Amino acid sequence: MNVKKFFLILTLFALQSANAQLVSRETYLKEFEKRASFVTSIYDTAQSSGYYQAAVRYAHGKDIATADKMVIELLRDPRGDMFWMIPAIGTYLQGKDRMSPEARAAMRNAWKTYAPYRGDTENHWCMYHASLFLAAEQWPNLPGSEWYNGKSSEENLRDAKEYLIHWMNITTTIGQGEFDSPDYFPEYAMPMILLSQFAKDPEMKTRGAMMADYIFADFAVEHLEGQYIGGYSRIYQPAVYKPLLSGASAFAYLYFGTGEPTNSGWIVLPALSNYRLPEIIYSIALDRSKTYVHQERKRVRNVIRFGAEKNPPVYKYSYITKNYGIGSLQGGILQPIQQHTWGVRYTYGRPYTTIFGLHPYWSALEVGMFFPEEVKTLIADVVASKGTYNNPDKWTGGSPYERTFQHKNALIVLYDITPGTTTEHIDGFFPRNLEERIVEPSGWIACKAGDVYIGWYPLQEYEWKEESDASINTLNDIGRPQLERVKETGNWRLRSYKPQNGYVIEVRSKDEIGSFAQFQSALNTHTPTAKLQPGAVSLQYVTLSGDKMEFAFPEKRTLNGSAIDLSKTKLFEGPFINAEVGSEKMTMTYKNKKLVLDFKAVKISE
Amino acid sequence: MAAITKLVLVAALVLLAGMPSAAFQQEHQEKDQGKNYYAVVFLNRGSLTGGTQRNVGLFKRPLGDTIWTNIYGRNLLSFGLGIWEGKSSRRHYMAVGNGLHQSVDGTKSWRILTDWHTEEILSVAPDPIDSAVIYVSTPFGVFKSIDEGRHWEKKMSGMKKWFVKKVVIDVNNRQKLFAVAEEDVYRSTDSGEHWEPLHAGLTDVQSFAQDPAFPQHLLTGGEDNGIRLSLDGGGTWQAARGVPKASFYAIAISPDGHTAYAGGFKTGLWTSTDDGVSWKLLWQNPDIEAISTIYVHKNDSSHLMIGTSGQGIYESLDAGKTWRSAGLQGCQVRQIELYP
Repeated sequence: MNVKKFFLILTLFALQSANAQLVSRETYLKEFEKRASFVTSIYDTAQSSGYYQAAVRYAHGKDIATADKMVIELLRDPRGDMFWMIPAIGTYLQGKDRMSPEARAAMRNAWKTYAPYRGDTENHWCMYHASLFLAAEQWPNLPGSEWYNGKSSEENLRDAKEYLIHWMNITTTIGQGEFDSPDYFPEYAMPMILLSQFAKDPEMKTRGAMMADYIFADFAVEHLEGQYIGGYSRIYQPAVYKPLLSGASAFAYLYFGTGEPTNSGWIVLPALSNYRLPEIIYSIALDRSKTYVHQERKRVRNVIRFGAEKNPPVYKYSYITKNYGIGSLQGGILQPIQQHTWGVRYTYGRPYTTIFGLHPYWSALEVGMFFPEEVKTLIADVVASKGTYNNPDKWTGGSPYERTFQHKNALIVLYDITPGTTTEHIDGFFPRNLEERIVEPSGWIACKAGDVYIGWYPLQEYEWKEESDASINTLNDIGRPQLERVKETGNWRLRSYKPQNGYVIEVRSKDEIGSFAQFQSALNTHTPTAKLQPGAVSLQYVTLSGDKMEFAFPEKRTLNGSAIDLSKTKLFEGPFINAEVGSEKMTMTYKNKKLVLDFKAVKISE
Repeated sequence: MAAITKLVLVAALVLLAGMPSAAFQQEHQEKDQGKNYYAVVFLNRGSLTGGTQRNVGLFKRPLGDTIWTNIYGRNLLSFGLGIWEGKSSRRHYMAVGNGLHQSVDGTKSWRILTDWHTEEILSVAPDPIDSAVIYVSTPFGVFKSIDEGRHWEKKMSGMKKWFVKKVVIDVNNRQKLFAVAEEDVYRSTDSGEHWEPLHAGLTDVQSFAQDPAFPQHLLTGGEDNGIRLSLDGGGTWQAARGVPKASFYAIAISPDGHTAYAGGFKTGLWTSTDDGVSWKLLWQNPDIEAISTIYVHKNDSSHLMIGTSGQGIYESLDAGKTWRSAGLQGCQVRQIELYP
């Protein structure tokens, strides 16, 4: 790294602190430009070959010959399906007026001869159709023989547009399927940003911008200093325990000015884009002056079999303060493989800014619900690309034997695990950088992370296991080297082998409860009463705030004597973002500002 | 020395007995002139969507050759094959994760016929007479086109669940269809307009075959449930004898109807010579995780191929007595056909 870039990073860190405060639109835009320049400046001089390196050169009008050479070379052997389509069309759109006829011809030829797969998940389909739409607009009136799929430009345009509108419709009526994914956020943001910038069709241009706003707003309302709060549909290791490693955090850096400066490739095309976040969205992302509860409804990814409903609802509850957030999904299998049902994330300490628990479950039933192959062979197929899936020590995944009940900053998690299940234990992640991890005489485990205190009350006996993070040359879930090459130890795993099980979580900040000692005292006077018999797991608990929570596995939740009906959960409900189920409309409010995304009318209004 | 000579002689006799005669092979080849073996590959273990090239899709092995070559869709996770043959033209079909692919020029070029509405295409069944009529099965039901794939309509009337692994046209009556659905085998007698469950007695149906010589004879395999058979066209069903309550993913019946084969997850290859009533283990290879498809040569019932879940293709020329690994190692092979 040269001296200039070193000072640039220092400046950006300083700006990042400034950005944690609310700033004027003018200042925000200036700071955004600096961050965007920081990202792109790394790419326009990079000698390694890549689409982003070429795209930035084209956009900056710099070293076009090198960009052309890269593009021609890369297009000799396209690969990566929709992960190729997005950077390829993004590069073309940035460079078509500057690239050489040879590079332009190579790009056109690639869309004729290389057949990218459409994929099998929502993010694949989103990227595939958005990039195909943009490509079909760029090369209109071509016959099917000029396209990899044998369809004419008009057919591809129509098909892609129909899918994208369908996806927007379903997302804004019953929720996103691959929802709130810290690792898959970029796969939605990037195609929508490209549509907003480059679509010629005015409707799709507006829809692209609206949908970019929509998913950014969805993130913003659960954002805390670069981190996504709450339960997620999908997250990989290590981002599940090192939150700032996720792709969403790179976007948080660029658009919210939080987290850490990054040169993530995911944000190169967005950094070149003319899409700018509406003021209200980054205000929602950054203003943590008031604590709030935010609830959402999402949907389960398409259930192809072993279910009674194609897209059952997902209910999400988050409690967010300036120091921490705790969020949860209701439990059960809501997404295959990489679900994160609940977690606490806080601002103290990096990189391990989280505590969470899970039942590390896997089964042929789970994967068979979502993938069409024969279930017995599916596990091996899944493990080939998601290496931790059948690992009993994994840190991601949902379970049919897990349910949650959250009220504000208190959370109950219960388990009723059938004997013979793939794993018969539950795990909890306690990071190494906690200042305190004390087992109280009452049974509470009291943890201190700066000004955030986390209490964990285990319902059954357990043991502690010291965790290593990543050994030398360890490959991560997607077969790539872990970012850390040095073995790190010190994280702690709470493991309990009792199948009827559970725990209570309480989180408070210094602002809310005072000293850590006061938190400990409060915990010690609040212990739950549980019944833990097979088929009859239940718990009663009065929270530190005095609310009486009663929870019987799997779905009976009572708060202060009133039954909780999760089916009434709205698409978005909270102080900042609201949307009714089926409405195709999101309303954002912040102080005296309002922004409405109306997908029925394809209109943004303030 | 004499003992060694005797041993070599016995070995030679065994080998000769295990191989089809040269004359038969020649006849076999003559009948199949102009044809190639095709195999569709769903995945190569270790691949990842968005990652490196998968080396899946459509593979071809010319007659008399031993090498499989990828000829299309090395990136396409593929489930099945189909063909329509007219007097002067033919259409090849591939059931692929991103749609139904059609070639009208002998597999040289392809076009996707379906649009975003149909997700993975799990099988294809072109009407044997009318090229305009095509059926596909998907995780969300059976779809039918009556205009060569330009438009598609979902055909699910009478079905309780939506996952349909395979759609099969009756060997004698093209209005009659069978659907291998999640919880039962269904039958339609009006070209897919309405479906009725056959109550085959399985809860998770995995495979189905109709006897080409005796169409009333039906076989079906289930997850962890062995094989069941019907000798009256699906009116009544019984459990097959001799097979374990294992998962049978593939069933095939020889063209003459004399021999049935079945295999699945760690089952080995089983065979029956009494209409599927009783079965015996024909061959087991511990290296094979699962048998996903079985091919029986139409003119030579002793020529068998099996596609596996990740160990490629195995081939036997002696009705399953001896086998050799026949390529595509690492691949999950979903269907093998001999097509012009």
